[in-house]
Amino acid sequence: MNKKNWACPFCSLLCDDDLINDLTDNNILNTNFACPKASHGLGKIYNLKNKVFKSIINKVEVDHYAAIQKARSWLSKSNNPVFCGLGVDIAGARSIVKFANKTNAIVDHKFGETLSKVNRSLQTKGLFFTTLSEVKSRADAVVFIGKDSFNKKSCFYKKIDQNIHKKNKKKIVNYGDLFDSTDNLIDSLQNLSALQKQNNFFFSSKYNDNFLKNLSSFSYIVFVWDPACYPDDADAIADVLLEIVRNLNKKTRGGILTLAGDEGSITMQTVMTWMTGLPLRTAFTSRGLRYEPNKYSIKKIIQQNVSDIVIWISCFSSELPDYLLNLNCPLIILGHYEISDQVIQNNLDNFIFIPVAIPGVDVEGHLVRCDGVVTVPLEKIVDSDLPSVQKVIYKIMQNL
Amino acid sequence: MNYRLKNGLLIDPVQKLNTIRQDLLIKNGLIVSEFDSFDKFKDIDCSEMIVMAGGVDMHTHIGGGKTNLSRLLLPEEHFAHNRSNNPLEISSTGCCTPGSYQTGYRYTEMGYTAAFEPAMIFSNARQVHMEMGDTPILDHGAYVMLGNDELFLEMLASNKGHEMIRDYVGWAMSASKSMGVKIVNPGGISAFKFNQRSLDVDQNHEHWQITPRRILKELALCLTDLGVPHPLHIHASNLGVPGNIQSTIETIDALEGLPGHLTHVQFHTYGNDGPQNFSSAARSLVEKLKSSPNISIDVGQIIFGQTVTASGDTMKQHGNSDFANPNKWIIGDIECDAGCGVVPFKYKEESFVNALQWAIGLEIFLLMDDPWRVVLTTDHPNGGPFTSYPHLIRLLADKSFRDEQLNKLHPDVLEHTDLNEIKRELSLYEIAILTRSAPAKLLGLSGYGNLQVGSVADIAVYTQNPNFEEMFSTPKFVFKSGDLVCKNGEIVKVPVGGVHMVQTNFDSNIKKYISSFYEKNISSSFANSEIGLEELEVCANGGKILVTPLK
Repeated sequence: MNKKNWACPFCSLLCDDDLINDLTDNNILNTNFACPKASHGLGKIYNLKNKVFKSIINKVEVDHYAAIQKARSWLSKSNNPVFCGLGVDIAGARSIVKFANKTNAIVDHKFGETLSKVNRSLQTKGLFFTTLSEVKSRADAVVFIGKDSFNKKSCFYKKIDQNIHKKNKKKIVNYGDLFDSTDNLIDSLQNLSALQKQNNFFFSSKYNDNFLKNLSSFSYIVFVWDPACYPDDADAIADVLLEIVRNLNKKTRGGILTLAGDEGSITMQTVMTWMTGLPLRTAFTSRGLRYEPNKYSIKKIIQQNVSDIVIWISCFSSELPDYLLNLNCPLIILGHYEISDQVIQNNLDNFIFIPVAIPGVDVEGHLVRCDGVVTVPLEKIVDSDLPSVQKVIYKIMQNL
Repeated sequence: MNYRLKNGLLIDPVQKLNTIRQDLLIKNGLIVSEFDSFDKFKDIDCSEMIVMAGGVDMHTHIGGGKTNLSRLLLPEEHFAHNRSNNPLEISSTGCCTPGSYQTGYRYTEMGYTAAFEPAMIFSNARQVHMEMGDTPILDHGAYVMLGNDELFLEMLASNKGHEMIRDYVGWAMSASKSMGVKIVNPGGISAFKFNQRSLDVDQNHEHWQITPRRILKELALCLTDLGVPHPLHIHASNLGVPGNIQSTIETIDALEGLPGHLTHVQFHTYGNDGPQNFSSAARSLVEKLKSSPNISIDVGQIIFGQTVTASGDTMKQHGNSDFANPNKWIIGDIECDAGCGVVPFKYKEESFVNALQWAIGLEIFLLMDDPWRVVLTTDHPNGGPFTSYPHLIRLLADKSFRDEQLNKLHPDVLEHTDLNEIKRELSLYEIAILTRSAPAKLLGLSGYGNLQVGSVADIAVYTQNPNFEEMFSTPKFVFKSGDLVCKNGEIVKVPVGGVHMVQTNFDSNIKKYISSFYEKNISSSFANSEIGLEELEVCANGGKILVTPLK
């Protein structure tokens, strides 16, 4: 038995805690990870060591070498590939940028819609952020904005050490969680922003009057939200929250904490940005890079049939989105071993599937935490014969 | 490949060589005195060419969270600087916020072979090393930011004693794999988190009840005791504030003779005389430096045009956010550790303040009598992009060109600067000191920044040209660790650079104390706080780990 501190790669908060694994059988015996994502992710790694993993080409199982050869052959004939999914760790992301550079590909993440909306707000107005340790150590009030569709609250409270036994607990306020619609939430936040700017604002809602009164005595207030809950409106919410927090900071202190970034989305964006200077939804072309966040959406590209091959890369999730199931062009998948079930069930043809290891499970790696500041090392906890995604990518790139 | 650079005119201030015609031999990545009889080598004719060590930029924001946020904030900056017709290059864009690959290629094209990130936030150290690892060709390293971390401030405020604090500093350097320590607005980033909006050298941090003076002295003493070669790297209090020369001089005094390096000192050399309450204090600074041999500086020259200011000094960046151009900006509080402020800025010739800032930087360069204590920087990207170095060199070396530029500026500036009276033109020898030998020496890198036998063969060869901007823009050849990496301005080989660090000694019992602080305040496990050497190699993209010995 082996007890180790382990960072969970299955959500962007990257909770780290003790985990006991049985080195002989390669199984997890006990964990302090109670959240559904960790349980789901860890539940899939039973007996990974003894599994035999095969690649698949058009419904036929093949060895990895044959699949890599075939993928290289398909890519060598492609003029406009699109790399998407991109659920990877930093080493995977580094290899994807080089791969995309070599093949003149467009790159977009599975959560590209939300990412690009948050980017739009940042690139238009800016950002006023804080990080998890500042919340844990300094904040005396936490305002949770809107929905928690992805059940992040339990991990968040764990990260900031907010529990019922603790003295001097932070004031927790849920803002807009019971509103009927996202429009109502945005309207209310805009009303709050106006009220902040003008104390005698005639049209202020009672909800916001009370909210501001309740928070008037706190010294460091954090607004927490998960943009992934609002793929259609993340930009509008980011804009108005920024206005509110900028106003707040004229007299007191505080910041915004976002809980997005699952499946390596913030990691992939961070790496892409540092290597090239530009974020995702960028095309590598023979005339340089083109960043067009509205145009280079994976869904739009597939709908418009403007790519001649799609490369889906996803280490953490075994789900394939519906828009990949009826492609008019070849599909290469580098991903979680259970994706094979889905490609078979959906009777896909014209595809290559190469299973890859999961960073933090059967290969070491690094992920960027939701606040974008801390890069967390991921330790492997079980053995498998699956290659890392970067190893597969570098092999495909050889002689391409 | 071994090389003999034939008949070049060597400039190496470390050996006091000033345009001495001499062959330079490169073998196995090092400069050697002779080849063995069986050695194969290639001759490169360098007749009438200037041969110098590769440039060393000791203060340039090339990696880490705030640099990356700057890139993300300004996609428009990347449309105009987007070229890649060299198949060896990975597409990368930007000028004042370049991608890491662009950074490596463009520095190399100017003859630079090493660059150091001066503001590595402890909690962001892995990312910093990764970004620099993805900066091709250049060797690199970073200074970890301390002195605003609540752990240090708590220890100092509660009088834990110098030995304990020194061990903490030693641990922090070791855990983050850093080359030095930087302090930014001593205590000010933390004070801003407690809603304090200004902090002078002798003013108390309202929460911890300690002064910047005390913080500075303690950190400088720690580095001296630990034997760290690079002195405390100091971004002083009151950045950009008219009249801040007083606090800059007080900052020097606070060190009480201990070594210190004042960074981007141009932003800290302002008087408040004249009708606009803004004036040059370059002469006051230089006079102070003459009597303070323990102090070195880099200038942080401003260059006219668009750039972005990216600093850990959230207190001042928040105050400057009204000047954001374009009007968008980022502020962040980070991990009980530091902060981040990104404010785009356009320096304008027609602005009196900007024009005087430009003149003050040049005055400092030209008035300093000891070139070994001055380093040429623009504080990339804060004063301007590093790609403007050749232009800056020409300004320093060509009085008529300088005057021509001066006459284009806001007319009132002429009455407020001595620049037009300063006749000095820096020589190639002095430029070699400011851009290579001095920064390498200040970092303790004895095997870099010179052409001595045994030194690393980081070499730039320039075709002579009376126009120094042209000359320094495109070296004829650039060698990195003995590899020819750039020829006639074109990248021809892309090796991975090494990562510089120092290995500090400290009592490891300090970890228990730090661990308990983590438990209480930090949202990640103490077990993940240290970067191991193997992990550093992964972060640095397989680059060699280059350990600089302690003093």
